[in-house]
Parts: sequence; structure tokens; C-alpha cells
Amino acid sequence: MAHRGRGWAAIIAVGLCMAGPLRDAAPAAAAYPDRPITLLVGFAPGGSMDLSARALAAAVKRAAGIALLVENKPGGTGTVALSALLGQRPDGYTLCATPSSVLIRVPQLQQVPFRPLKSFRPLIGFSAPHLGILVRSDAPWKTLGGLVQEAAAHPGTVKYATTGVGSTTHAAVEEVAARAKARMIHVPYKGGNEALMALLGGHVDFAALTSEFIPSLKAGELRLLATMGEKRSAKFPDVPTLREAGYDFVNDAVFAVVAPRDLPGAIAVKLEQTFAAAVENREYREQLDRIDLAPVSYDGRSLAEFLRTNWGKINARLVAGGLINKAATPPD
Amino acid sequence: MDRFGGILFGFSTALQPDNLLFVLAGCLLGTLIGVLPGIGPVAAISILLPLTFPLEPAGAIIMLAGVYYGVMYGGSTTSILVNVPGETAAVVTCLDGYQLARQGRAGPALGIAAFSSFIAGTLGLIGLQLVAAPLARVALRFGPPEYFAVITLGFVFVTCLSRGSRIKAAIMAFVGLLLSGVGLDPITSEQRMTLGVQQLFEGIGVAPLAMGLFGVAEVFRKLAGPASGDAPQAPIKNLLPTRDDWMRAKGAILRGTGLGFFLGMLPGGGPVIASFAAYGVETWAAKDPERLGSGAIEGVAAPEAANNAAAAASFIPLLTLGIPPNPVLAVLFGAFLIHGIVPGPLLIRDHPDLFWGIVASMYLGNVLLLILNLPLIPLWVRVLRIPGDLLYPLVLLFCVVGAYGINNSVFDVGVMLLFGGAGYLLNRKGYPGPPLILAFVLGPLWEVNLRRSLLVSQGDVSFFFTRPIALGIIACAALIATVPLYRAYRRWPRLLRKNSR
Repeated sequence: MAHRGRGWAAIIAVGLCMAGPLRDAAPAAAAYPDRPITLLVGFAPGGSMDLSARALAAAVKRAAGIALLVENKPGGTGTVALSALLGQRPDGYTLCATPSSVLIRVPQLQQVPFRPLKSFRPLIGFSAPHLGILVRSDAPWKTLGGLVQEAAAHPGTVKYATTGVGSTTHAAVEEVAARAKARMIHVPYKGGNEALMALLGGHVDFAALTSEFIPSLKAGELRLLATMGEKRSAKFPDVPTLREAGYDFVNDAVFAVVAPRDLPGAIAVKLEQTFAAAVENREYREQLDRIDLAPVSYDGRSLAEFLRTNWGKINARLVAGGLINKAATPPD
Repeated sequence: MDRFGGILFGFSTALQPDNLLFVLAGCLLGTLIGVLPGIGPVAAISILLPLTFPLEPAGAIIMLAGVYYGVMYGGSTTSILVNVPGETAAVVTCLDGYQLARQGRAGPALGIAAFSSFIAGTLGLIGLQLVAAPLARVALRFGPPEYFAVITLGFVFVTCLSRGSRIKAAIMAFVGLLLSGVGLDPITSEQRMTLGVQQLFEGIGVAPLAMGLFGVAEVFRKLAGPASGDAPQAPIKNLLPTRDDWMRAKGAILRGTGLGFFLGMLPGGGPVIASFAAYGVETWAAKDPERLGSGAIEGVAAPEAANNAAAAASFIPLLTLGIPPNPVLAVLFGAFLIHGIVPGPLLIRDHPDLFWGIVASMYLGNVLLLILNLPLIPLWVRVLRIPGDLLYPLVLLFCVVGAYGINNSVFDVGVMLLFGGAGYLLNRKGYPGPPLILAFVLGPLWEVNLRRSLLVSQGDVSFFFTRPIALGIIACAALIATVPLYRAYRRWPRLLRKNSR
């Protein structure tokens, strides 16, 4: 009996799908969502991507009463989850939360089955790691300028750690070095914690890091020379941005939610509004602060723009660094 | 508050009824996850993490920590009984544990595994309590050249790791190295040997590889063997380690504990590498190395001690520096942050109740685990009485479910079955699995640290001789490598005489 029941359900589902295009989009959106939405996450539970996706899901539940179920699909440096989204129906019931790097950097280094700037519909950029350039607190350099001057005066002696080749942190230092015509030695580590240990252990002179640095900074073991955002970070109001330190650029990474490309417009609008309301939630902001992330709010359009601009920037740096000749995956 | 006042204070937290319940829950869950093949502590703690959000911070962390060291206890069970590592840190335990079980001595093997886990876990905690902060500073002094040296030392042990043909062992080690190179280049992120397969970007998983090479291969061997003519298990002799077992194991437990404690603290180290290294040291330290691999009790005691000591020690960098040294601790780090607590140098000052409560709970957890595990031994041993026709298909089923559970991926199941088939064939031809696994685990660390060293020195190799710690370790490795040569040289005249007679 159960079997037959499922058969009927399938027939009805197919019928509805065929009827879908005929109906006006508005009632569909009004009824949406009538069941929980799956939010794919391309990284293991417990990491900052996962934690912030869960914080977002909780905020959406509080703000709009909509259930988002986080489903972890780790693998392929986060590309497995996005690839899985590719095969999903664009009905708004499957979305994917991803760091912008998986749409910008990873596809340039590796061939992936999706077109990063074309296959998905960006919905929101909802949080961002703190990014900074740090030295040990016993290091002689008090400003980024001083550090870079030393590097320019003694080419090939200053060593720095980052969270990986082509990462946002690496890109920032390369940009600084290129502008100051300084040659420094890059020692890439796997993730922020290893890079932080290398800095604390004195195996490198400075490091460009994501939020992992915050506990050691609070304990007085590190000195933060610059942050990388548009404005000074609310968490570190005394620390200049790269721009204020004399390097006129901004380096950002965001955690974003995307949907399959052909998401009906009405549903996309509804989701964008829901997310935008959710990230204003006070509890959400407190939760983000606890996991050392900063709240941001890119809407779908500005997120798409962010991805496109950064694709170009990162591409230029990877090519200039000799890592690739051209992007392994075409963007669109 | 001094260290002893602190720990008493900690017990006052840990002994609160609800926290005691969390210790028990964590240990039970950990043991269960350890027993089930495939899913390891990282996945288990990750899955449990969201469930702990509503709990008090102390309770949540105490439970998740319990899962971690509980896994170290439980992982050895299936290694010993059916040659399937319950999780990666228990791979080495298969080598002698399973042989012991075949000789009807599964009881003593399980017993010594539980006791050495308890002893090492407790000693590790004493170390954590007394010398955590200064030791963590020493661990930070380990840069890429020092790592490279330590891992080179590990590779020297490979040559000691197996009985039989050295050449076949070396071939397998090279295959392991080659397999470990699959995935993205650790420095440049280029693809290597991935065939464009997305699931291979992050490399071949060590859990499916080990489960295939040991467990599934063993199932194939049983199924391919004569259906009823297969020699039945030797009758089960005793359930607890004998006096003789203890005499043999005590040195191994202490060596394993010391080595495990040290390797657990290092970033990128942890229980897996500790257990391999401890086994290597035993083969080197043994008066009669031939015993290892054929059912030596010290071959179970050393790795089980090492992985528990390493689990305890890996809390040191997290609690004192705020840096998680391995993926399990990274997930725990997330758990701390979620609860609004920043682990690190300030933890012991700002949250002494939490710091000491965690340490005290781990003492309690170790006692609980011992009490839990000893009565289970007769029950586990009975598993071996299940007829093979029934037991081995069941083992295969658990392996498949376990491999799938790691990443919810059918690909991992395929990897496991592939290496199961390969392991079966290699085993028949006398090619040993352990060197392959060891090289596979150590290879990536070896490579990345060599390349980082060379990046820092701009291609100059003299750094090995200018850094005292690295130089010392390399010297040790050279010494150990030459001892067998020296022994062989000493043996030559005797061999010649024997032959001329």
C-alpha cells in the first residue's frame, strides 16, 4: 500500500510541476514555503561556515518562523555542496550556504562542474570573518608601513604565513607587497590555526589571518597592524584599515547563501526579504560576535557584484603569481 | 589558585549530578562510536555539537570531551575482534590484537587495551594538570624543519614495522606515499592524480582506506576460504591479562604514554600518529622483534596507551594557547566559542571553574570508562563464537554503513571496497598493509613540512644542521636506521660459518 501511495504522490508531483509554469507566480510565492527548506553547507559541522549557517537558520526561524535545515555535505574544498545544488530543482526548497571563496578562488584553481558566476542565484551575504595582518607582540614593527619598509629594504628576508595559496589573506599581502615593490617569502599553511601557530612560534615574521587570531590578540601575544575592511572594525576601533595604512584597497570575504539559477523571481524576493530581516536580529548578532564573525548584509544584487569584482581581482593575482595561466573553470 | 587547589575545585564542578551525567553520556557515546567502524570522533562530535547548544558550557564541553577519549577506548574493540579498526587511531591495534584473538586470547588483548588506555589517560591528565603551559610553549618551538625530522624518524620505523620481506614492506610504503599524494597540492593547491574526480580533491580518506585494507580484506579472505574447513578459532583461554602479559606490557605502556603525550601536543599530531609511532618504537625496543605482528601483548598495549595519552595531551594547546592541534579539537574549539568562552591563555584566569572542571571530569571519565569496559569483555569475546558465515557478512555490512557515514558519500564506500579487494590480493602475495597505512598517514605531513622548510630557507638545505632540535632528531633517525645494519654485520660471520659447515 505504501508503495502505491508513493506512486500517486509522484504522479501528483509531476502534474504540479507541469502545471507550475501555467500558474501565476504570486500564489505560489504566497504559499511558499510550506515545508522546511534545506540549507546545504559544504564544510563539516563545527567550523565557522557551519556555525554561522546555523546561526542564520536560527535567526530566520525567529524572525519569520521558517525552518531551515542545515545539511552538511563536506568535500572538494566546499565544492561538493555547490555541485549538489546544481542538480536540485529551483523551487526554493534547497539552498546552499558557502564562503565566497568557493565561488571565486577554488574554481580558478580547480575545475568544478558549475559556472561560479552563472549557475547560481546569489541571495544574501550574511556574515564575514575578521581579516587582519598581525605580528607577535614582541616584534619591532608597530605599523604595517614599518613592516613593509623593512621588507622592501631587505628583499627576500621577511617571511609571512597565510591560510593558503590564493586565499583572501594571501591576496591581501601580495597586493601590499606589489604596491610597495617588496619581495617577501610566503609560507602557506592549511587553515588559520596552523598559520597562527607558526606566527606564535616565531617561524614567520608576520601573518595574514582570519578570525582565529582573536583569542591570542586578546591575551596580548599578538599585535594587529591592520584590518582589511571598508571601515574600521567595531571590534578593533584603534586599528587602521589597509586603506588608512596607506594601501588603497579593500579585501573582503563573505559567507553567502545561493540558490539554483532559475529560482522564480517571487520566491527569490521573498527569500531575500526574509534573510535581510533575519540578519538584523539582535540575538543573531550576539551569536556571530561569540564565534568571532562580523555581521554584513549584501543583498542578492550587491553579492553578485561582489563575486564578479572579486573574481577579476583574484584572477589577476593568481595569474600574476604564476599559479595559473587562466581560470580552471570559466566563470560564466 | 595553585594546581592542586584547582583540581579539587574542579572536582566540585565535575561531581555535580548533571555534569556527572554528561561525563557518563559522553563516555558511553564515545565508546559506542569507537566500536562502530567508520565514523570517528570528528564526525561524532560535530553531529553532537548542535545538540549541546542549550546546555551549560561546562556540561557541553565535558560531554564532548568524553566522546573524544571514549572513542580512544572503544576503537580497539573491533580491531582486536574482527580486524576492523573502529577508528583511525586503532588501525595499529589490529596488527597484534587480531592475532591474539585468533589465538583465543581476545580477552587479555581487550583487557590490556582497557588498562593501558586507563593508565595512559590518567598519566596524560597528570601531565596536563602539572606542566601544561610550559610544555605548550615548547611545542610551539617546533617549526617545519623539526616536524620534518620527527616524521623522518617515523619513516625509519617503517622498516622495523613489518616482518617478512623488507623489500615488499618498502614497496608498500612507497605505494602509501604515492596514494597520500592524491588530492590538491598542499602548497600550491594544484590537482595531483585526482583524474578530475571532485571527491578526490581532498585526497583519499584514511578511514575508508584502513577499513578496506584491514577489515574488508579480512572478510574477503574468510569468505574465499573453505566454507567449513576453515580452522575454528582457538578455544578462548582467559578473559583478563595474565601476570606474564603484565610483565611484557608495562614497559610498552610507559613508552607509549610518553611518546603519545608528546606527539599529542604537536599541531597536526594527535592520536593517530602517536599510535603508529608507539608501535614502531616497540618493534625497535623489543628484544625479539619477530614477536610483534604475531600476537604480542605489547603490540596492543603501546598504541592504545599512546592514543589515549595523545588525546589527553591534545587539550594542552587548546586550553593554554587557544589553538586546536587537530581536527577533533578544532570542533571542540567551536563548541567553546558557541558557548561564549574563548579558550586560550586567559581561560584559566577567567573561567577557572570550567578549566579545572574539564580536567577533573576527564579523570572521572577515565575511571568510568575502565569500569564500563572491563565487564564488557566477556560479552565481546562471545562475539567470536558467532559462526563466520553470519559474523563476516555482518562485519561487511557495518563497514559499508560506517564508510558511508563519514561524509554521507557512496564514493567512500567504493574506495573502501576497492582497497578491500586490493588488500586481499596483496595479503595473499605477502605484501604487508601496515607500511602502506603508515606512509599514507605520515606522507602529507612529511611533504608539506619539507617544502615549507625549503620555502623559508629559499632552497638551502643547511637548516637541518643549524637547528639543534631538528639535528638531534635526524641523528636519532640515522642511528636507528644503522642499528639493523650493524646487527646484520655482526651476524655475518656466524651466517658464513653456518653456511660453510
